[in-house]
Amino acid sequence: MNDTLGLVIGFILTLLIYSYVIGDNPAYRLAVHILVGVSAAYAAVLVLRQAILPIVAQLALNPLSLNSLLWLVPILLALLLILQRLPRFAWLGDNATALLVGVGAAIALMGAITGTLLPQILVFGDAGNTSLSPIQGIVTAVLTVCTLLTFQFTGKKNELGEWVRPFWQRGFVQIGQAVLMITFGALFAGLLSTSLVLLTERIGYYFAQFMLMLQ
Amino acid sequence: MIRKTICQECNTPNTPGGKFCSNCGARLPKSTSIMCPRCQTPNPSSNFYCDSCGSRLIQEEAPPPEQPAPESDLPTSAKMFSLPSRKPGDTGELNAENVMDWLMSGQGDATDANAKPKTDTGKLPRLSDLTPDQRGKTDDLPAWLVDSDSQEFLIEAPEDITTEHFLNMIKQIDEEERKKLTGMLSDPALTGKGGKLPDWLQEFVQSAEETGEKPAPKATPPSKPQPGKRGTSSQPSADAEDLDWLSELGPLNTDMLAHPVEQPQSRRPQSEADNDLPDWLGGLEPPNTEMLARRPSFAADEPSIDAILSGEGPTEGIPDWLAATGAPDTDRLSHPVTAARFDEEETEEDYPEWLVRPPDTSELALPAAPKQVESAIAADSLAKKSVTDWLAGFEDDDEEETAEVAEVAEEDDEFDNIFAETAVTPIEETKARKTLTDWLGELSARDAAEPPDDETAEEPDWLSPSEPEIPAEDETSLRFGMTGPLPDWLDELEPANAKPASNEQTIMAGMLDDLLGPALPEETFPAEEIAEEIDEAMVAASFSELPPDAQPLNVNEEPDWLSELAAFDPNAVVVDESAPTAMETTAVTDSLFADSLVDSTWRDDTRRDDTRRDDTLQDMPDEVETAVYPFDSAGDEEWANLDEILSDVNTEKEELVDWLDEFADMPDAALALDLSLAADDEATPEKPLISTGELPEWIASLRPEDTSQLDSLLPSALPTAEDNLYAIAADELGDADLPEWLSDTAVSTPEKPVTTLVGAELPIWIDTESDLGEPSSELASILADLPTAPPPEDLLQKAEIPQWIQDLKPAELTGKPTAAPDFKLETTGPLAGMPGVVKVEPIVAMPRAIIPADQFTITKEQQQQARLLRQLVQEEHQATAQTHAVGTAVSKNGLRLLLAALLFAAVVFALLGPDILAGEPPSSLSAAGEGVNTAVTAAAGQPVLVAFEYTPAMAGELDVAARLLLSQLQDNGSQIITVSQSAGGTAVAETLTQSQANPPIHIGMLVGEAIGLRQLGNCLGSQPTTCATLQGRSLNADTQAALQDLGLIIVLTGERDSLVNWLEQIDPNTDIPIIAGVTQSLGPVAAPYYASGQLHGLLNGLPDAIALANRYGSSADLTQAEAQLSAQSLIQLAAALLLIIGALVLAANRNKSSTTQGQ
Amino acid sequence: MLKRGIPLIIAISFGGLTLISLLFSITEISSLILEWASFLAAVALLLGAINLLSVHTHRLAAHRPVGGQNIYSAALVISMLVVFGLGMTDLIGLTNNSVGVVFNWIQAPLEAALASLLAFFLLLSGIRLLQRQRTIASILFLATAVLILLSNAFIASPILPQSISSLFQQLRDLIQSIIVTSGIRGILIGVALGAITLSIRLLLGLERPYNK
Repeated sequence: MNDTLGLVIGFILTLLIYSYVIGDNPAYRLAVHILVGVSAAYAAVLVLRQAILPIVAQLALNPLSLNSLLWLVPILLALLLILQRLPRFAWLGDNATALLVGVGAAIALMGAITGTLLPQILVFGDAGNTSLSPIQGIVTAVLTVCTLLTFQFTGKKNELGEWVRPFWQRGFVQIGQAVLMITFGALFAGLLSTSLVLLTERIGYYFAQFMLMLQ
Repeated sequence: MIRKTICQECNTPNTPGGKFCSNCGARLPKSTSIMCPRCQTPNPSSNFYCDSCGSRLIQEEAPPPEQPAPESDLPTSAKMFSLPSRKPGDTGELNAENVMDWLMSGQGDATDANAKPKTDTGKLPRLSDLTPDQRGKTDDLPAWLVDSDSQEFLIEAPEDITTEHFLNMIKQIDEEERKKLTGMLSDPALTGKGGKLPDWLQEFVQSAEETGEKPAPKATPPSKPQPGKRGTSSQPSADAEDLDWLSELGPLNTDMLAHPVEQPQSRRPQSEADNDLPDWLGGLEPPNTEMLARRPSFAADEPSIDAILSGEGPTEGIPDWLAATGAPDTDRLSHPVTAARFDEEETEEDYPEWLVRPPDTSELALPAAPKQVESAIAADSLAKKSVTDWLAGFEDDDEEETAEVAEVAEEDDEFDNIFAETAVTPIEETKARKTLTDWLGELSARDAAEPPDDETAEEPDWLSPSEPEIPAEDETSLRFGMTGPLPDWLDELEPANAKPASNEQTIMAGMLDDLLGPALPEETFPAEEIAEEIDEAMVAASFSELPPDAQPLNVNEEPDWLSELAAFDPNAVVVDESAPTAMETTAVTDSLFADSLVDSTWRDDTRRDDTRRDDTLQDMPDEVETAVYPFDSAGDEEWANLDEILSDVNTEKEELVDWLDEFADMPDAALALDLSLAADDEATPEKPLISTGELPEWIASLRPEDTSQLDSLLPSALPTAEDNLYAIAADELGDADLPEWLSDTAVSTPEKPVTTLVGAELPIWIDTESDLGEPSSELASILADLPTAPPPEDLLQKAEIPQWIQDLKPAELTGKPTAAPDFKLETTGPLAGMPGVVKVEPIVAMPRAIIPADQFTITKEQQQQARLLRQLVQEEHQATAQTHAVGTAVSKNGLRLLLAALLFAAVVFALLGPDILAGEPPSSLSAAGEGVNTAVTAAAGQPVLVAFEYTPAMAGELDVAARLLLSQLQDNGSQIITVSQSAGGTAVAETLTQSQANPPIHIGMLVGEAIGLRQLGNCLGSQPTTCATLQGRSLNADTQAALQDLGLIIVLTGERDSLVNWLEQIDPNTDIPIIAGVTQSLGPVAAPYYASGQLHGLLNGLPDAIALANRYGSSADLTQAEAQLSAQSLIQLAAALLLIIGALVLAANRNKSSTTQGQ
Repeated sequence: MLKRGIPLIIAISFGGLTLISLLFSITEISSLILEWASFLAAVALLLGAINLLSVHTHRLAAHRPVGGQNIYSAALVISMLVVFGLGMTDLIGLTNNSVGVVFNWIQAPLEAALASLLAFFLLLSGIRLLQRQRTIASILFLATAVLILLSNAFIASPILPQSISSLFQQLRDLIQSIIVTSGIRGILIGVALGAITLSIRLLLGLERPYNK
């Protein structure tokens, strides 16, 4: 019974979402607002349950331990973060945000260097799962450089006052733009495929469920 | 001889003393009457300081008055043109009477009252109300400006622009000038303490002192002491006490002043005209007999100026502001007897300011006399005593005035004491005091008080010009008249370069008559007659008692004119009954005097290096020459007799009336004026005293420098005869020698050159063409040197009519075709049916949603206006835009619906229909897929961390892979640990692993994305420390152990970040292989990571998963997945076809629409 | 000075500490700091949800239907309160995984529908691409997408002859493995360089997103 109710609710909501095909309409908006409400509440509940309450419980267990004392710092910062809702004390909340930004920057720096930059640059020979021939490898490297040069926007001003790239860079940029267009075409195709899959799955799912209900 | 500075460039006569020509702006040759003692630069007589070196011209000068009258700073001419302004704050009611006539356009003829168009009181008549003939006759606007429908409209520009408006303007100008003049007369700066009278006034004052004329009775307003009237019976002796020289001025002939040109000749008989002038002027006949003869005569019925001024005459046509000032009761001025009534009947308020405030004479500083002159003056100071106490005569209750009078009285006493020792009988002394102007008396007194050797003391030039420090080498210019070195102005008088009596001088003479009013009538009152005779006798006596040390002038050095003058005794001439009538004798004496003066001064002049060329001689029209002028060539015998007369009187220098000294001071123009006046009076008795010719220098000099602007302001139209009282016959205007500043407005017909020489007959020495025989050699030589003057026509600049006026010319005049009016009728909207409606701007036409701004309160009217505007705009806009909107809406929705239907049909068909493209399920696995299998197989028996990084949105594709992998892991006996960076993933994980046999370990949600993963990374693999807690959650031992023993990490995600976070935060720090199951959209993004080996395997969406499952078999129920996968082929084919067809169809559509827009 | 100085000091010091601990694998320090950071992240997420609730509650209290906005706000507030309530009841144990049920019945279908709706709009945009912008790049883009879609469709399908389908396969592989990978790699490296630059600026205090 529950499943049927769920199914019917799901179906109705899906139809509300699909009404957007005709154009923006209140039904679609209602559905979206419900989705936002539910997902926000769900996340809050989950964070509360999985991240905050355990810490509170842990501190409650042993409030005087060194670890617990140390946790006073984040708790104080967290309280300041809550004060940010009062305009007069909003500046106090900036300290917590500063901590998050500092730590996040450090982690991103490390990850980008060790996780993407170095591994993507230092793939030589048989390293990695490349099954390209050397020529293919060189072509890939050249195309990658062309793509990177396409993102190089510095240039010089010509007589007419327009900003133009140096002459030697113009050829590479043209190639890079073509590569990018092909890449984006491929991505578009992949996304379209995925969404077609999802559409097919939805329709197939409801189709199947109704067939089941009918049966 | 009236002298005028002729411009060498354009031959235009300019006022003497001017530096630049008023017409073409070229520099004028130097012509002046005062020679600078230091640098010999000739300066105009009105200068106090030399133009070039700045040294003082007039030696003896009292300190300038403390409060020079504010108006005096501006030259009179500049004020002439300022409109009569009200005092600030005095707004007063604007009613029809106050509005000046020239403002009341369309009034038509002033006299034609009933012809006035219907106008609301106080409002100007609209042009449309005027009847065609009124428009035609509307004088206020020039014909070509009037938008008249009448056909007889003048096509070509009107030659003779006559407008009442300009007449009124001129009248207004003259009114102001008259006010200005009368203001100057009562201006303390000029007449009061230390104030230096303008030259012409000083001379007259001084001459009044010399001739011993009886001042007007004291009670009357100050009248000028009568200068020795040559040949005319003496001015009736005024009351013994005051010589009211102002009253001598007689009724201020405002009309003459306002309309010197229009002064109709016949308006007043000559004698009456004489009476108007003060005695000192009375004798002076206006030289320009010719011009005066031609002056328009007043119509008989026109009221006399006195009547008008005294308020009895009709006030029509008089500007209201003048009428408002009330009759200035000029009678008081002209008729000393009536003046007495002035004080009793009229209160101070009734009389205009200039009359009421007595001029303050105490400050009047008479020019200091040099040593020799002092003694002479001392001798005849008694004569000066008779100087009118007119300045002191003003009794005014004002204490300040009385204080001044007291001061003057004291000075008088000193004056008296000084002269007590002179052998003058008490009676004569008292008379002398009466006859001298107090102010002169003071001066003499002051002079006497100062130490004689104080060379530097300022001596009044007019008395005896100081000895200029003339460089030795310039001996020739050192001339000594009877009273010491003669002032340079005397040189001017010499006929240097045959300076003709110019127009200006005649006009000036005429203006003087206007200003100072007609000379007191001959017929003076009996009492005064006796007083006058006594005065004359006294004067004669005083002359005879000239102190011995008064060195007679060295005859040799004395210029002939002086010696001749010395011989001439005007009084003798005047008194002699048998002599021709006053006027004639005056004329004769004047002319004699003038001639001799001219003769002698001319010789002196020629010695100077005056570069002025008198080219106007040739241009002198014949009639000027033939003007009746006593010195005309025909009268040679007369001239001869004159010589004898003059030679007889040569010895009687003493009898030279001091008043001649005045002439020493009088600027050459004024002198010439006097002479010409005398001549004119003589020749043409019926002419009005002040010719319309030359303005006195002091007026001319006030004329604005830049007359060009005046030209544009004052169109050259002058009022026509029938306009009003002062109309001037149009044709006569052409010949009238208007003063320079007026001449621009005169209608001068090109073919008649403006006569530069006044009608007076030229003396022999000037008249080169006269048949008197060869001109003197010196004149001929000078004339020969001068460059020939180009004909005047070439020099005359064409008057520039301002562009804005030309633009106003109606099409009939300009001949341009008038643009056909745009009478397209409006078809739509509330303005339907109206012609020439301007289209609404596209910007406004755009329908725009009006967002109500809360803070502004919109009133009902504004809302209605907004609604109306919107209605206007939308109606017009809708009319054009409707068709277009419908088209696009239909096309847009149609496409979407069509596409949705096609897609839906494709999916349904693919799902339910036969599998057209059905091929074997993909069994070939890509290498990446193989990697996944390898990794999973390798991690068999190890805990595997499965990261559910996708939400239910991607569940449709990833669930298959997830289930597949989970089943494989299950099959491999691996412990599944689930983790997620997002809340949704956690839920998905819980949902997918519910049916797992081996319940997975749910770490749950890692908050903070990369930070959480980084924390997790610390707990993974063979780390030295175990992490008991993870993000506050305590991990049990199994979990910790599993985490440390982790064999594989599977990342299932459809988002790039999630994948990248795992690859950047976990991979580098652990050796644990990571495989990913991603969606087809993320496949390309993951490929590089797979290529770089960071990912050991990669499932690229559903196909790979199905392939994997097909390759390695799976226990998961993938039927539905397979069905979906097979449908994918068809659907993707359909999508591809839709893309191709849709793109091509829309592209073709676009071409079609762009071509239709192009057309 | 206080207002701006303290956050700057906190950001630079904690960032530096974290960086050093990660470089030199000093896990005690890094884990402690990471714990605090993740806790603050959790609190921040919670505050975000509460903020969303208060905004829509105000709209409801304002009684001004801005284009019917109240109905949607009411729906949002009610759904949040219901889910939050269920979460609390789950927490208390009154209910069992009711939140999951809500998730499955409401959130999942909504999200899936939204994701599937993406297909329709992707097709629509692809069709209008040539109508709006007819350049070489867009033609290249559309051709690649169509080629990949056709290759996906025909590779497994026996309709086309093997040669054509293998031709399709090779073409797709060529495009995918060389061109797309190069392109993606270029993009990834570019993104990484950007991340590195921004992190360095944040750690040096040149960028201060925390100072309002």
